[in-house]
Amino acid sequence: MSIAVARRSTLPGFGLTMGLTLTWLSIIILLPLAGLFLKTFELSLDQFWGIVTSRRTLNALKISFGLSFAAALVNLVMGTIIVWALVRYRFPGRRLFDAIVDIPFALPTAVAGVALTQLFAQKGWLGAPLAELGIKVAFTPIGIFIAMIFIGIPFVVRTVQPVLIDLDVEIEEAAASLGANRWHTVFRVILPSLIPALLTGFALAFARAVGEYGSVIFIAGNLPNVSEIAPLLIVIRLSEFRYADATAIAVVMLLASFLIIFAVNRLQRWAQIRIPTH
Amino acid sequence: MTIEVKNIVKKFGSFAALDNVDLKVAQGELLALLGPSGSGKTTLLRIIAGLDWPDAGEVSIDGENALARGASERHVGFVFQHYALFRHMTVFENVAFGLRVQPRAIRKDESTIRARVKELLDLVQLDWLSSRYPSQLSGGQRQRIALARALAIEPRILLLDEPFGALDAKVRKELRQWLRSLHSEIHVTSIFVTHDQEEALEVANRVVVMDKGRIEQIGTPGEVYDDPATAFVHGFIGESIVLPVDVSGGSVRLAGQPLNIAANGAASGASKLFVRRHDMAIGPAGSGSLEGAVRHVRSFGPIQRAEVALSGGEGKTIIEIDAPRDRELQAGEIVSLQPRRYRIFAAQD
Amino acid sequence: MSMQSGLAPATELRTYAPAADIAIDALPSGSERARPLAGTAAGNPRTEPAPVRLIIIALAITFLSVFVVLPLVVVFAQAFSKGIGAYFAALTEPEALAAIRLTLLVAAISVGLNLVFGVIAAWAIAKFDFTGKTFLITLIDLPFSVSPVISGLVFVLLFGAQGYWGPWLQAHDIHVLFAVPGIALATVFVTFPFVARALIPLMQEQGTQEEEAAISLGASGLQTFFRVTLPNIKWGLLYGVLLCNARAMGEFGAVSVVSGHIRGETNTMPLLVEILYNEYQFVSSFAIASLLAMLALITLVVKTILERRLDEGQQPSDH
Repeated sequence: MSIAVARRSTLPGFGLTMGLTLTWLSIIILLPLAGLFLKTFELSLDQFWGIVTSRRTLNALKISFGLSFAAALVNLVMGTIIVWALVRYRFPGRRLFDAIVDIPFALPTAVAGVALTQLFAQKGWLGAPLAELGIKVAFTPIGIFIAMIFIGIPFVVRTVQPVLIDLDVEIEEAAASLGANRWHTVFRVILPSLIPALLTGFALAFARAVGEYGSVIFIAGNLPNVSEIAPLLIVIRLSEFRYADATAIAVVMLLASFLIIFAVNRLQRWAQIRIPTH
Repeated sequence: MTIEVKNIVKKFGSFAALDNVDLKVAQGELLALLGPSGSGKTTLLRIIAGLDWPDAGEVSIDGENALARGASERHVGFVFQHYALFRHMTVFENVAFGLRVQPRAIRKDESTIRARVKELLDLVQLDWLSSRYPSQLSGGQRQRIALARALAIEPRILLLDEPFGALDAKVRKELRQWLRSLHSEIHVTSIFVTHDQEEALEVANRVVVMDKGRIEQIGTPGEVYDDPATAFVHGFIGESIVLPVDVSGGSVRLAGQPLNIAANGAASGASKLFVRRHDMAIGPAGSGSLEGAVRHVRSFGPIQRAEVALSGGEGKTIIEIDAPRDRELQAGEIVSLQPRRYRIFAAQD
Repeated sequence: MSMQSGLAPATELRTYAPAADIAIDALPSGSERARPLAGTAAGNPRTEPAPVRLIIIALAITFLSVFVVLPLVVVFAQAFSKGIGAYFAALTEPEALAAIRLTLLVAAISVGLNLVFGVIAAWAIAKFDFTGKTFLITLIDLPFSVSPVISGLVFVLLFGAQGYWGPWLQAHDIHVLFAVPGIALATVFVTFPFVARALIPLMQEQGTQEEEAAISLGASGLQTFFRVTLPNIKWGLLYGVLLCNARAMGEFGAVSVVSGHIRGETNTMPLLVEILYNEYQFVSSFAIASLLAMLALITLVVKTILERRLDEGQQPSDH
C-alpha cells in the first residue's frame, strides 16, 4: 500500500475514534440541543418576552436565582470556615468530617429532598424546635433556602481545599515578622490569595442551586409566586403541553446561568491579576 | 541494512525542523546525529523510525520506500530517551512484548520467546532483574532493558534517541562503552542522537553534525574534530578560540594589526579565526603573530591552561590556551602566540 | 449538576487531597507548613489563638452535623421506624422490586454505553493533537452545566406528543417517552461526561511514549490499546464508571420529566421515593431512599480508595 507523504499521526485510530466520538456526541448532545434551539426560535421575540415576563415566571426566576445566590453566599462563608478547620486544625473525627463533605454531591437528590423535608417538617427533629420559636421552614421559601445550602456544601470546600493546602507557610511567617497580627495575616494575606478559588466555588454552588430540582421540590411549598422554583415551573408547563413556555423559561435560565458564570470567570481573572496565587 | 534519506523537509508551523536533509547510512555502522537542541536530529530519527512523517522527501531502507509503512511495520528498534518501559509489566514481559504481539502466522511459541528473552537479558547482563518492575530499577538498568526490548524483535536498524541523556555522568560513560562493545558484537546498523559531542566522538563510526535543521558536516570523529567544515562545527566540537579578523588581499588582520598567518584562500571581508586551545604555539615576546600578558595559569596533569589578555585592541580580548608544561608560564609574563593550525570562516556563518 | 468555569476537568470530582493526615504530610513542596498546629499559644504567628480555633471547629462541626449528618440519619431512622420487618416488606413490594430492576437496567445501559464511548473519546482527545479540542471537551462537559429538568426537557421536545418526532413515533406505535427508552436516553445524557472527564487528564498526563514504544515494537493499534494503555488507565476508568453509575442510579430531575410516573413500569427508585412520600407512605419511601443512601456511601468509600490509587500513580516512577 502506497501512501503519499502527508500528515499522519504515529498512533493509529484517530480517524475511527474521532468519527465515533463525533457521532455519539451528535446523537446524545447535539441533537437534543438542536431541538431546544429550534423550539426557541419558533417563538417570536414578543411571544418570548411575554412568557418570560409573566408574573408567575418572573417570580419563579426570582425565587430560583435569589435564593440560590443567598444560599451560595452562606456556603461561601461556611465553606471557608469548614475548609479552614479541616486543613489547618486537628480535632477528633476530622477525617470523618472531611469525607462527609462529599455526601451532598453523592446523595441522590430525591433522597436529599425527602430527608430534609422530614427533618424540617413541623414535627421533624429540627422542625419542631424551630416551630416553637415561630419559624416555619418546610413548605416555605426558607425550606428552599435550606435545601440549596445543603447541595452547595461540597463546592466551596473542595475547590478551596487544594489551594489552601498548597499555601506557602513562609508567606504567613513573613507577614508575622513584619509585625502583622494574626487577624491581619489572615484577612490581608491568606484570604485574598484564596479569592479565585472562593469565587469559583461560589459560582459552582450558585449554578448548581439554580438548576436543582429533586432536593428542593419536596421541601418547597411549590405555591406559585411564593415558593415555586423555575425548574418546577418548566415541569408544569411541560405537563400542560405548553412546550414553548417551558422552552422559553429554560432558555432564560441557561442564559442567566452562563452570564453569571462568565462574570465570575472575569472576576476570577481580575483577582488573579491583582492577587496572583504564585 | 542501508538507509537513505533524501531532501527531507519537516516544518512545524513556520519553524523548519528539517531543511532539505540528505543522508546515507551504511550497513552495520554506528552513526551519531550530533547537534544542539532544535537542530532537528530527533525529528530526523523519528522520521526514519516511522514515528513522524516528513512534509517532503524520501526515506528508503534497503532500497524500499520506507514511507509507505508505519512504525509498526518498519521493523526498526527504537530506544526512547526516557525509556518508555511499560510500567505495569515486569522486565521480562517488557522484553517479550515485541515477540508476543507478532501476527499469529509468524509468532513463535512461548518457550521460544522465553528463551530469546533470557538470551537478551543475559546479553545486557540483567537476567537477575527479570521479575522486577521498571519502577524498581535504576536509570541505567532501565535503559539497558529498553535496549534489550528493542533488540528482541531482531530489528534491521536500531535507533536511539539521546539514550543516555537522562542518566548521570558516571553511568553515562559506562553505558557509552557498553553500547560500543555491544554494537561490535551484534553489528546492527545503528543511529543514535546526542547533544553531547564527547559521546558522539567516542562512540560513533561516523558523526553527522546538525544545526537548525541542516547537516553541517558528515565525517569520522577524527575528520569532524580536525577538519571542521564550517564555523558551527568548529565551535560546537571541542574548545575553540574565536577571534574576529579581517581578510583583504590575502592578508589577515586582527584589530587592524596584520597577523603573520596565511589566508589559505579565505574570502575577503569580515571573518572569524578559529584556533584550538592546544594549537597555539607559545614563544618569547615578539616571535609570533599575537602577543599578550598571562593573567592566570592553572596546571593539571600534563597541561597548563593560561588566560592571556591580548595586547592589541585595548587589551580587552582574553583567550584561554593550553600549553605543555615543559616551560611553566608565570602570571604577568608577556608571551607571543602563533596559531599552528587554524581555520578562517566568513563572519556570518 | 455543576458548571465548568475555568477549572481543569474532573476538578469537582477530585478536588481534594486524600482525607488523611498522612497524605498532607506526604505532599511535595515543603509540606511541613501545611501540618496543622495544635495547642500553640496565642501570639504564635502561625495559627490563631485557641478560643478562635475552638469556635471555628465548633462552627464547622455543627454546620456539617446539622446539614449533612442529620439528614442521613433521618433517612435510616424513618426507614426502620416501624421495625425491620416493615423495612424488608417495603423493599419486597412488587413496585419496589420493579423500580429496583428498572434502576439497575438503566444504570447498566448508561454505564455500558458511556464507558465505551468515554474511552473512545478520551483516546481521540488525549493521544492526538487537533484544533477544536477545547470546544470538543466543552461539548462533552455540557450535561454537567445544565439543570436536570432541562436535560429532560430536551428529550420531551424531541419525542413528546407535541415534539418534533412525536407524531411520527405515535404513528409507528413507538414509545420513547413514558417508557424505558426515554428514561435510558435521559440518563445517558446526564451521565455522558463522567468517564471521559476521568480519563482525559489521566491519559494526557501519561503521554504517548509507551504507546509509541509499543507501535515501534510492531504492535497494532488494538494490541497497543489493550496491552499498554488500558492497564495504565484502569483506576481512572473504574473511577469514572463508579461516578457514572452513582449518578445514573440516583438521577431524578431528568428522569422525572420523561418517565410519566407509571407505577410498576416507568418508575426508577428515586421516582418511587417521591411517589411514596407524596402518598405519606413514609416507611416505604425511606426504605427505598435508604438503599440509595447506602449506594451513595459505598460510592464515596470506593471513590476515596480509588483516589488514593490514582494519586499514587502520579508519583514519579518511570519516565
